[in-house]
Amino acid sequence: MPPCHRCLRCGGALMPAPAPVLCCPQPYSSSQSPSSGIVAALTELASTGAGRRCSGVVAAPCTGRGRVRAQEEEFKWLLQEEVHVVLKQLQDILKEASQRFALPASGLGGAVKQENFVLSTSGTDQVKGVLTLQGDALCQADISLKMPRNNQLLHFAFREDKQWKLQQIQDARNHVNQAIYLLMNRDVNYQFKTGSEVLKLMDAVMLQLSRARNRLTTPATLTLPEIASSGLTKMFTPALPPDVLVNFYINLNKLCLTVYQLHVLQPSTTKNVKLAGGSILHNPGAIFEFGNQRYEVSHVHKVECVVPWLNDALVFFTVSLQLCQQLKDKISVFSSYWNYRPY
Amino acid sequence: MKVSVQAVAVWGKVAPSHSITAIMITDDQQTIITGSQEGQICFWDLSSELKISSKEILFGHTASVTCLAKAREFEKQPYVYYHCSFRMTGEGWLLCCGEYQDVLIIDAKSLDVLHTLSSSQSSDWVNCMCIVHSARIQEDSLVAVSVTGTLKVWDLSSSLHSIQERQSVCEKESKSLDCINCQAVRFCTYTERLLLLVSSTCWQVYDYCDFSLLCTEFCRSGQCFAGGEVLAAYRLIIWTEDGHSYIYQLLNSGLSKSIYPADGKVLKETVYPHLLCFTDVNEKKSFSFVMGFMNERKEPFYKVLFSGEASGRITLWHVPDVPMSTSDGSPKEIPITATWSLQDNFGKQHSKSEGIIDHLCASKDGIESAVVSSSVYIPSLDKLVCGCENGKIFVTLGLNTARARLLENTSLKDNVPYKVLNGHSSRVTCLLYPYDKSVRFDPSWLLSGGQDSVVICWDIFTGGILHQFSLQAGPVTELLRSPENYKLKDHGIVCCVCSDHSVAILHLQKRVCLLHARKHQFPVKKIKFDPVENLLIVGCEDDSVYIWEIETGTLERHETGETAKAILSAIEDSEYLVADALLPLSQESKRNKNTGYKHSSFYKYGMVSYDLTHTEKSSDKLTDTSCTQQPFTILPVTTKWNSANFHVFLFDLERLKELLLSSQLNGLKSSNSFHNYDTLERAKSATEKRALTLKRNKTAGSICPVDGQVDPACSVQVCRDSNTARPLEESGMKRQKKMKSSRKIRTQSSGDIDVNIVTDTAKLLLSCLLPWGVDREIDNLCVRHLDVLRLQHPVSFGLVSNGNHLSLMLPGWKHTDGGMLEHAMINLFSKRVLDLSNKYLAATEGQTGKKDGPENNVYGTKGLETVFFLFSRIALINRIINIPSTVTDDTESSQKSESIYDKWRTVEAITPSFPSFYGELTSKSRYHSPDFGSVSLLKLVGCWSDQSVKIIEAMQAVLLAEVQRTMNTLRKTAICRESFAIVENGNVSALKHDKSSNSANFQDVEDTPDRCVLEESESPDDMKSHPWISKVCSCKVC
Repeated sequence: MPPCHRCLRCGGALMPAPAPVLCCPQPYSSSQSPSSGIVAALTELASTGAGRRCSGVVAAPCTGRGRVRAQEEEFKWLLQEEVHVVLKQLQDILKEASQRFALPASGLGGAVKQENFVLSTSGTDQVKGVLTLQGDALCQADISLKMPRNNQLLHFAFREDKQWKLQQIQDARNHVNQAIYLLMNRDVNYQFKTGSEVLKLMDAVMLQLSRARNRLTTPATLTLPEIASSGLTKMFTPALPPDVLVNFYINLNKLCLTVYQLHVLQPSTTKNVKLAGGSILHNPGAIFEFGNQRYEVSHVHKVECVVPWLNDALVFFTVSLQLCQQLKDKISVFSSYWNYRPY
Repeated sequence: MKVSVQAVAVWGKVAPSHSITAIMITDDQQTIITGSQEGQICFWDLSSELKISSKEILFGHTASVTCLAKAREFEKQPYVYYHCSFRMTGEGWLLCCGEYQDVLIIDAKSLDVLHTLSSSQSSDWVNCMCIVHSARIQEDSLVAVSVTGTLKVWDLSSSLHSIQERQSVCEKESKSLDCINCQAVRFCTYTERLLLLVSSTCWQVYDYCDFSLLCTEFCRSGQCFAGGEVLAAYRLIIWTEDGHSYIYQLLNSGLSKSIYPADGKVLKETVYPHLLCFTDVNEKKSFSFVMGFMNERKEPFYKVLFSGEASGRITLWHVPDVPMSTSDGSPKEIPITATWSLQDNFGKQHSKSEGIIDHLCASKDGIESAVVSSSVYIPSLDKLVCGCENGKIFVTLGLNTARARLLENTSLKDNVPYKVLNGHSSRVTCLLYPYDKSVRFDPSWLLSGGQDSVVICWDIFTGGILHQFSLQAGPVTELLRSPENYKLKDHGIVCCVCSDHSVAILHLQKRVCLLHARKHQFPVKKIKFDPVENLLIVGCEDDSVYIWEIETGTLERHETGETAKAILSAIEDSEYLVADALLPLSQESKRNKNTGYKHSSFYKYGMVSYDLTHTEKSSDKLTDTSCTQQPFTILPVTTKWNSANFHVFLFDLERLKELLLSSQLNGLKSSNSFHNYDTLERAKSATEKRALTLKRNKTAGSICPVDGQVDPACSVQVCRDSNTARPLEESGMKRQKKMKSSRKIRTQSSGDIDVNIVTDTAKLLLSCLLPWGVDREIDNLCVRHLDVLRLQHPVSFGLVSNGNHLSLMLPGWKHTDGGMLEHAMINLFSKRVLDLSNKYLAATEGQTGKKDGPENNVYGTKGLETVFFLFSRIALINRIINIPSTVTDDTESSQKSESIYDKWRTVEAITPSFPSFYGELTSKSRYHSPDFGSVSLLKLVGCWSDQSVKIIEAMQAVLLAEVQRTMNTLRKTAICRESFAIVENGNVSALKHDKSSNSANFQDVEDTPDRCVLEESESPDDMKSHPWISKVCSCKVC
């Protein structure tokens, strides 16, 4: 893996501290010891890394019959042996990633285990909460909100009969499963005959993987009316007061909750205001219209907690994407062959 | 959708790769439509004998096509959307499922999401679905299976109201089935009871009443089921991913009367599958197949099983109406009925679908012609630079090459001047002419990158190597010029991306490599410069960003995720450039009618470049004004997976017409001799004509004069015909040198030179459009009188639409109409053209009594003018069709006439130059007010566009009609001339003098013809008299 290069000049002051998860795999927590296969895969990747990109072969002009034959042999080996090794590695890694998502239908039978997460914030303790995550669904949420005006403490929880599906997690899981399915279709017995075949497969897998990763790294940008009209507001008991909006989303490895406090604007004062567009996190002062009323966001609270297995999944995604790209690079070295010589 | 650029494709020997990911057959069983992983859509013709041939290819999608369905409301093209859908009756709604929860209802016209069918529990992505419509149940329902194998049923008919009211619609039933990766679900409409579910490992039959499992059949090891369909009651067809299919008969085992008695234990009513037939593929299983089945019970249609392979091959099986097993009970194989691939069409016309410069190479080394691996067209020099697989670089003239490639005359082929640059040891992977877009660069610089990781800077005029950079970083994949106002170094910075994802910055003047950034793990997607801090910012495909300090060559930062996005977007306003191999040309073509060819770029970068070309437009504008529009461009297109690069000639009709107009004015004023020469030498070869036009230029003084002397500086130049070709080349060079000294005057000079080029271009386009081979006489007359050369073989036409989409005909298109003189070369786009042209004739004949005369004059006087006239006709048709036909929707007749009037007004508004074109062209007296049949013409053509007549068909039809009309009169002339051959050979002048006065009486007094007559009388050796004069002659004598 390449080392992280941080900006020395600004010392990371200008930019928010980079999330380490995407470029440096962190050591695994003891609770989720990865299988030996993964460790092997990751260490091999780390050791060989970019070094296995052989550019020397191509740079030299291909002269001499023997040399050409040697390259053909190498390409054959690549298609017949090496590709399957990499595909196996990929499958192992992705299966591991898929298990993190605790797919209920994976044959374990029993219900997915529930995990509790305590929401915390670095600054004030205006918002506190405990969330219970079961696979891709939030099955319980206890949120207490301290109203800034009167210091009154509000408390809500999910209704017993309701669950909130975190679409990002479900999508990521489905994408990974699609990628696994693509890989499984080309098992060891399958013989790749052309390089482009491998490239096409890799492209398809990478598309799924990057979509999976993007689902987790880029939360949906919602407008405030969308948040207000979402089913989430109706899930709480006691019901949310009309001047409070909540939103859950995943950002990288974190499960985030944002609470918006609103106040109603008088119609006369708001003739020519710009309405807020879509955003992940709206700032105080954003104005929106909902149900013939105009509201302004007065306070925004954001609390979050780290979900360890999301972190793992992201690492797996990144590693497998790199594996895919390296395989593509290896194939591309022989691009002058796979064009003309489909075996 | 405004279409104004005509394209002609020159395909190579190898078909572009087309990995079929979606396939369908239209309801009339005449067209197969496939979508590919590369993102194109291909049309195939299916004859009534089930013969396939490729017809057309559409470029437009940036990502792989996942699903196809036909939408009748939109034009006649398939509308493609995400993943999967079904049409709901009546409402014009589409039901879609895909990589999102549950089912979306989409308005078929606007594509707005109207509503969702949501599920109350365990909502997930939906894998497949089908609409259950049955008379027995009296309720249309949607059956869907999710990725986790949950079967859900939504009521459709009863929930129509709540969909309209936007109330949430939840499923009626939900049942978890033991079925992962469900591929298809089908309802048996024959029994109205069975539900077929195909998953990758097995297929199952359920009872629709209570969703109880009736039977399960697992697939063989190594196979995966991909889909299935119900053939008839208790008869199924199931197909696999590797192209096999199986037809099963379901035998009711509950009733022991069946020929296969049950085990006896079975008490519950179940069914047994019995394999009746199967289909197989010839090849070993390797590619993935996409299959479909079309079940038609009516007579003229077939039951067809079709499959598309990743290799681009289509296979059809005609499934018998009553599939039977062989007599001994073993399954019977159904033979393949037809199979076809793109390459088959290319191979069939091997000699005809050669590459763009094959004639150069072939003549040189005899057998092996070099495959073009990269090419660039330089519009300002009209030079086409082609890099080849063997490392040679050919520099030729674009228009000449195009003519030589398309037209019949063999002397054209031998007279294309070209240079060969030898320097690369292996394949030339990319080319860049930096001066094209930015005057900072020296106009003589041409850069080429090779497979051998070497970048060579050439002098394009002398052919010498200025410098050679050895990068040692794998094949060079991209060469990009640095942004316009990059202040750090004022001149000559070029970026170079190599296949090991490294980026090199080359300083062309100092001839050094400033920086070679080699750390990127993923392919480079974006390159930007921070001029303030002198940083190079490289965005990679995994959304990470590398920041390099150019001076020290050190990697300063590496960022991923949101931070990376922030950096890239923060620098957006400052200068940047995009990693895109075909950028130079896409820019060029953008300038040409502002159409960006994202199809060409997407080949390279898939989804990504979509955004790229769009964001990139802003930077285009900086350079846009610097150059005049060229009516003719060559767009090289590279394909994604194989080396089947091809070229597309683009003709900008509007621009061409403008230029024609101006050149025509010049022509009329300046050169008397030219026309005489022209008429004299009509049927002569183009070489001579070229000499003529050159001479004419000399007289007209529009271009710097060319002496026959050879400049020794150009030693590499290989010309076969030093008399004709070389002077041309040199005139170009000289002009270029002149340009070097005075860059500002460039636009002016390019405006001047266009005179020949424009006419040649127009003639080239005409000969591409003319329906050769329909009527031999017309052909000959065209060649003789219009000086338009015959085509070598039918061309593949195409259209570029404003939405940056390109459609091209494939080499096989001409077989589509079949039947008609298969052996002869016919350039008829479709049989419909003949009908259309007759209609056109009929429609215009009525009110053109007035018009006929002058038109005949236009035709008669000079071939060139006829060309102009025909050309303006085409342009008019093009315009009329392209006017959005919003007004024609009105149904009431009174409104209709109004609307047509409106439309005409819009035509006029859009085409202000059009009437004036006539006016100036034919002088005032011959100018007719624009209503000469124009309203009826407009009606007719508008009607055509409503009937979705292709623009190309309309153009050809009109062209054919006009040519026919002209030629009729010309034919008369010819007859007359024959009978008076002696007279013509002898003392023509006397006769003519006689008639010139008559003619003045006979026709309205007209300036131009008059002048011509005068000219003619002055030049008695002009053998070919003006037809209208001859007409007079015939009148007089007969």
